Amino acid sequence: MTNSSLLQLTDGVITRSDETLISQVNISLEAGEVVLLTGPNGSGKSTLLTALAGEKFLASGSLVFGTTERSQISLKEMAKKRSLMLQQDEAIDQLQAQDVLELADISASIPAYAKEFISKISDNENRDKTLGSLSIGQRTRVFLAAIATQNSQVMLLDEPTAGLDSEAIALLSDYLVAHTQAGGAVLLATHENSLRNIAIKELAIAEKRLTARNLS
Amino acid sequence: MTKVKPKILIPALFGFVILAILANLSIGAYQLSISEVVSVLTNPESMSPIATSVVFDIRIPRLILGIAIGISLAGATTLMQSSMRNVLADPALLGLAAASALGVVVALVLGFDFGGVAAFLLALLFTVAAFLLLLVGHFGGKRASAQNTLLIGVALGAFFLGLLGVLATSLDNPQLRAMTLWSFGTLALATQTIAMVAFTASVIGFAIVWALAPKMDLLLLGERMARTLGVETRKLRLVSLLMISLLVTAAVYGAGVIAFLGLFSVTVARALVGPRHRPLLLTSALISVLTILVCDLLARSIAAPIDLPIGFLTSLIGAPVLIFILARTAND
Repeated sequence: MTNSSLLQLTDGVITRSDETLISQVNISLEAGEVVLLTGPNGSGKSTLLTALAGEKFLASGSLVFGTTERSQISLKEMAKKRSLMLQQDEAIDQLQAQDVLELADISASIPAYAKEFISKISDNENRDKTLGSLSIGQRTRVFLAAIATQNSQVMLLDEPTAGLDSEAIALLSDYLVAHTQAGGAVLLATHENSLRNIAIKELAIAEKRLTARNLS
Repeated sequence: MTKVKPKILIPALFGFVILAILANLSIGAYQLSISEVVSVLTNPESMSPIATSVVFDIRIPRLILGIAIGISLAGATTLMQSSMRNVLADPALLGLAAASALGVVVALVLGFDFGGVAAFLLALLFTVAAFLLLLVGHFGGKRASAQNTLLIGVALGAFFLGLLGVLATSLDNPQLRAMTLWSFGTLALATQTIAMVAFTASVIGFAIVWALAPKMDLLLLGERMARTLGVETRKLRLVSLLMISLLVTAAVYGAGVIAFLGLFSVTVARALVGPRHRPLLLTSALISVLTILVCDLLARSIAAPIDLPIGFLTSLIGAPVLIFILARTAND
């Protein structure tokens, strides 16, 4: 194990509603890595991503960010270490796109590649529209821009391409590569082939176990 | 829906509130001109003792209590709606105001004075307890739907008011008559003490809510996203619960259950300025204060010399406007 590990889960047991979904989970996300998370529907991909974010579902195991145990890190500090985007946001429809970006703005500084991604992915003309009036793809764009605004080291993304057109997917792909090159890491559940292509490793859930293999 | 610019809206509302304050000080059974009101306030010795007494002992306490209620119901309703993620949440509708009122009546039955600190504390205690009951219904097992929570709240409110009615019959006759008037919502029982306690509690509560506003904004993104952005949502909910209870108690303890004021002002304010908390709090507080002052003016004038319970008027004005707005925004 190198010391560039940003997130590490050792002997994790992932449960949801008292049911064990995955056990003996060992994951290390290194700086510079895009990792693909795969598994059949209902195998626990979203639950695992939420658990890795340090939120619920981790029945046992040691979750470490950098060199610090999750329990030793405040939620405020956690916000800089990891972000989580699940398939459906729970934001109220009356918020404007602009509000979402303002609220996600907790980073001390946003690098140029992220700023460029934010301005391209979130259409400036739609900034004052309410979330409820946006299409699914437009709404996804807003929350991707929010993830880039939060600018945390580790990004945990669950099917982040809902409703996106191919241009937006290409933008996302370029952004994620730039983010890992800048020392970040991405764990990504997706069925989108162009995003699968940027991953260097795959974590596959099968029969309540997680297996890793290198992609190239 | 296009938002109204707060830079225009807030000063305009503020101006109307000032006008309403002057009108409330001058109009009543004992008529005073605006210049007489100003003289009483700036140079009381030059005025007749009756005029001074009317302004300082009757109208100012009533005015301050009204302002306190406006501020606290706007703050409590805004916070309730955000923390329960339900734009129909309202302290009167969900039984919290009734619980607070029950606390006051329990204090009276136990022999404490109306408007005293003991009555305030018992009202606060009952409100917190009722809120916990409501949340057990809201979150118990699986998260209840918005409609279920509303129904639980309505049922709790009816239960508390029933209990209040039964308990009130054990009071002395004059006390009972005052409490009957009070339970419909009235500013008629305002004293300097009641006004000061309610005002202090409402300002403290509102200031804390104001300080929480940026975190409450993050909660609009959903609980999980708020947490991933660093908000201790459980702590925030606990503080919210206490602040909502404090503000509801500030509103109820002197004036009883004033229906619809919170729901009405927050709904109108949200339609005007959107869901972000600071503009919403400020706008809804101004609308709420303006509404209660106008209603109190009407309550004292339309059937003078009878002082109508203000709760009747807030219901008569608030309910239709609310229905209109909800019907209009249903498709947003």
